[in-house]
Amino acid sequence: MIYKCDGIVIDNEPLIKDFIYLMKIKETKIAEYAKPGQFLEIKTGTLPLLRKPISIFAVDKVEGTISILYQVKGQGTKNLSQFKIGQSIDLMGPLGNGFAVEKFNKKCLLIGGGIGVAPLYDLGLRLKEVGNEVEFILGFSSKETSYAIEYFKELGPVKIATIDGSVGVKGTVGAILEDYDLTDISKAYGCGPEPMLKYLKTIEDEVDLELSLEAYMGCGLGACLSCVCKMNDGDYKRVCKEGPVFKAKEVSFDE
Amino acid sequence: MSKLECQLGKLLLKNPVTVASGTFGSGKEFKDFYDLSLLGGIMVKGTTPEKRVGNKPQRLVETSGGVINSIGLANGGIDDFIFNILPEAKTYGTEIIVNISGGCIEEYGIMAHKLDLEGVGAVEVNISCPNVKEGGITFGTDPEMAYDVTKIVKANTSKPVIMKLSPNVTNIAIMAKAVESGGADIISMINTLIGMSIDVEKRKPIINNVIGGYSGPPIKPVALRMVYEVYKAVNIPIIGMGGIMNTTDALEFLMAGASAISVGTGNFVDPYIPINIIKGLEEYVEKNGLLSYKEIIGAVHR
Repeated sequence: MIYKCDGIVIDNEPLIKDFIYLMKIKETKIAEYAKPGQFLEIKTGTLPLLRKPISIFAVDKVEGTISILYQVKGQGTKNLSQFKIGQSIDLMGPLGNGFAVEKFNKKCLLIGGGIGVAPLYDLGLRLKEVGNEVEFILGFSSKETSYAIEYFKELGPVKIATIDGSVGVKGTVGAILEDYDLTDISKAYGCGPEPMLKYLKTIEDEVDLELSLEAYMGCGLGACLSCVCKMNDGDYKRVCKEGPVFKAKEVSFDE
Repeated sequence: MSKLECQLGKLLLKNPVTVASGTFGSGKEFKDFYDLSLLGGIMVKGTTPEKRVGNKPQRLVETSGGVINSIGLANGGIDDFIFNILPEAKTYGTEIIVNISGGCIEEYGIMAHKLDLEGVGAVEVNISCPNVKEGGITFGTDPEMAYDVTKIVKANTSKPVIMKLSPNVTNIAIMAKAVESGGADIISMINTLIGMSIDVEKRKPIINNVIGGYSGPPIKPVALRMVYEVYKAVNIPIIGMGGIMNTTDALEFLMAGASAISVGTGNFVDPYIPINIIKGLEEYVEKNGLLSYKEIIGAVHR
């Protein structure tokens, strides 16, 4: 079930000012049904006209809240950063299919790059709830632009890579993965920029891997057919409806 | 009789509020929000003789308060529509208006014939798609071809035929007259305006297809003016659309000469816009003591 409703902003704090924000919203119905990997479509103001698709970072089903971790990129996310506590916010959700969560024999590995780390917190939490051990590999561009790491550390071991090497391993998440023993891993999940997802496809034969994709969306409901991504069979699928999570082996990043 | 009952030639709608093709899927995508039987009609996503995967992404971008899209008529083809989509759509309790696009005149005839089925309320003929190479918009810019397409569709169906006009012409009244003389029962207008948007960092068009159809609130004044002109030129009813977001917008289209309206891009912004407009029209009719909303159709012409 998809709901359109007005939530109430109960927190909207910068983790890094003008860049990364964590917003907590009271919205009982969406919180009740949200699954890890799903997203919201948020009307951020009069303009932009279209809603902005934002991943769900955390859900508290008991208190009926949803949190989003977002990066200020354009006018929509800039508007979001200016929401005040107590303000109502026009939401649609939960949308998309979400990650597969079940009890696996071995550990789960969650790999995030940049703002793509956002859906991995709720995923990690739910994977733990059903009895899995989780580990994270998170990539950022630098120490100054890394964030939310302490949240992931609550759930399991976290390895960090930064492009400039200012914290953790120097390089992308690939720099950590190339020496990583995947035989210990039952299931891996990835979310991040397209070059990272392309890289992750190189390990798709070694481990069962799901990827969460990003695409420019129109409606978020599967009606406009804008946010499609290419599948290996040459057909397209809707990131908002059949996705945003796909089996790595299904998707193709080839031109 | 309801004060919003809407008679478009032989097509009877429970109210004049419909949703535009390509913005509402087949209806299924919006079922969670409200009972679809509240709508006057649904123009379903355009169908073609064969399956089309559609254009390479990026297919859509917001610009200047509106939206450019270039989907490329992605759909499963008409047989898929008839066997896999129509059976569910016809249970929604609203008129299902099937939008068709052909690559040549004969294909329009074949599709119209296939759709002469129970559950199809009307056929909307897309002669104005800006996003496909063959067919599409060429039929919508040449009055003789528009006439020929109308003729062949009419000859192949017992359903009311709606011709959807392109705004990308010098004189839309000429196109309207051409489809009227070809036997069109209804005109729907306008399709999108051809537009473009550029990424100044990459120095490249944002839409992979370079150009696309522009829609949303910024096109409303253009659409309204065209409805005004076409109302004067023809005697068949008009379904007006282009940037309609609220009741006032809808009333403007009715007063310019539309007998019904469609919400398009607005569905992406707020799925409840069509429902809000139905309520708003009911209120307007009551407040002004009208026996039927029809009293305001073409009001500015009087």
